[in-house]
Amino acid sequence: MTADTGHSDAATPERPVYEDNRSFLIGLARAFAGALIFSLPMLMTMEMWWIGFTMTPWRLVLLLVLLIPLLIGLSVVSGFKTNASLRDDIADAFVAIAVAVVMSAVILGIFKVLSFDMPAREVIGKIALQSFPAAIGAMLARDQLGEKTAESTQRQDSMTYGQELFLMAVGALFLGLNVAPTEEMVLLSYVMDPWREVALLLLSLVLMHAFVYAVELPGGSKPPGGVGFWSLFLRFTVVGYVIVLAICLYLLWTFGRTDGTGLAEIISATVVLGFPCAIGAAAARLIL
Amino acid sequence: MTPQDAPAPRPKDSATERTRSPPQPADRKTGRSETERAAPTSPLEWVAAGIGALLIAAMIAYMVQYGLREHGEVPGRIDIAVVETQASGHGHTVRFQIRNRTTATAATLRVRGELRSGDRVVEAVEAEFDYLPPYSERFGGLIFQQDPARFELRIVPTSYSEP
Repeated sequence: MTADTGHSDAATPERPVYEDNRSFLIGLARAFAGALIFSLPMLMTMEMWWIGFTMTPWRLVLLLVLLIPLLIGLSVVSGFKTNASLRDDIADAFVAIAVAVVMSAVILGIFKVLSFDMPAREVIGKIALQSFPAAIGAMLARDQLGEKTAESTQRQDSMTYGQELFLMAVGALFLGLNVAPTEEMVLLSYVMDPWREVALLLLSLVLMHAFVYAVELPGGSKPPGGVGFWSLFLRFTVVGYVIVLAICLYLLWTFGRTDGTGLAEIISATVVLGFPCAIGAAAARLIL
Repeated sequence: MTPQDAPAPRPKDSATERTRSPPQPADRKTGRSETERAAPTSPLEWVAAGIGALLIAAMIAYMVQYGLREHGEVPGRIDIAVVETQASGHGHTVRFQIRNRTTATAATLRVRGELRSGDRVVEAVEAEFDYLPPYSERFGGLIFQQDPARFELRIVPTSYSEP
């Protein structure tokens, strides 16, 4: 084993650039696949096309600005290769954005959602909005579709509490983005009575905790000697759910669903959207 | 064969410099020795990353300047032009182009077409557009039973909702 590694180590410097580019191209193909898998539901949702040009430009700017640290964080927490420095994570993040923009433009162009005679505002708005989920997908795919090395598994096992929560937030986005732009979120909040909303909230918490418990968080955040119910419930389920609701509120605001809406309706739409987001957050370790 | 085995302080330098400026020999050596260990960012990846950075910067810059320019105009300046008229099985189809010349989006935009003979409206039909985004054009058709060539044709937008 040691002899073998020594041998390959000695052979590598012969053509390091070639090897690097090749593995990068494979990673790039994976990123395209991931961007497509993650964002196809949104590419084929008409609200996503409309929101792209009807939304306030400032909210789109905020979304794009937030995307950059989100991707860098994702690269640090779950990137498929252990990056030696933050600069590699930054590079990964921007590669994911490039992949996302190209993929969104091509697919939307084929769907004729984009065409050359459209004004720049419409084209850029649509591509920019789709790039958000697509870039997350591209970043996740380089991890998910790649081989799980012992190193990456070990890194996932030694996540800090903050990183666990961050991963939960990404999981919430993973499921939540699929439904957040749709009319149904608001419609459901109109239709449901307060008791059903309370029931949905409780169901979200119960299911979330079931997932958290089932996955049992095999991370560094797990205190030695097993964890008590309340510790796990308060530290992951409750905190996670609060993060989930904050993300829901942000998504609804971004998609213009909170504009001119009463507080009660905003809260109820947040709880409705919180349901898929909570499942996504709790199952983050399984699905991401 | 191994150029240098010393722990390189800046493993990514070789990659960036290849894309930005000519690499210095000393830096390249340390970069090489690091290559065999971790998988560093390849030059090609830096190029792709640069493209990504440019794309997102351009999108942000465009949206910022658009946001600064926007005055929340009323979509009042809507132009309609008839493209062609064709006789079809169900009557006469008037195909028209509708253009929004403002920065406001009109949703559920209704367009009414009338065939007039003097003050009398002979026939009226309506078309509806889900969205007419800023500075964009859409095409639609109005189907009349009467021949539009024999009457005065008037096409006007009648209502919209704000998205």
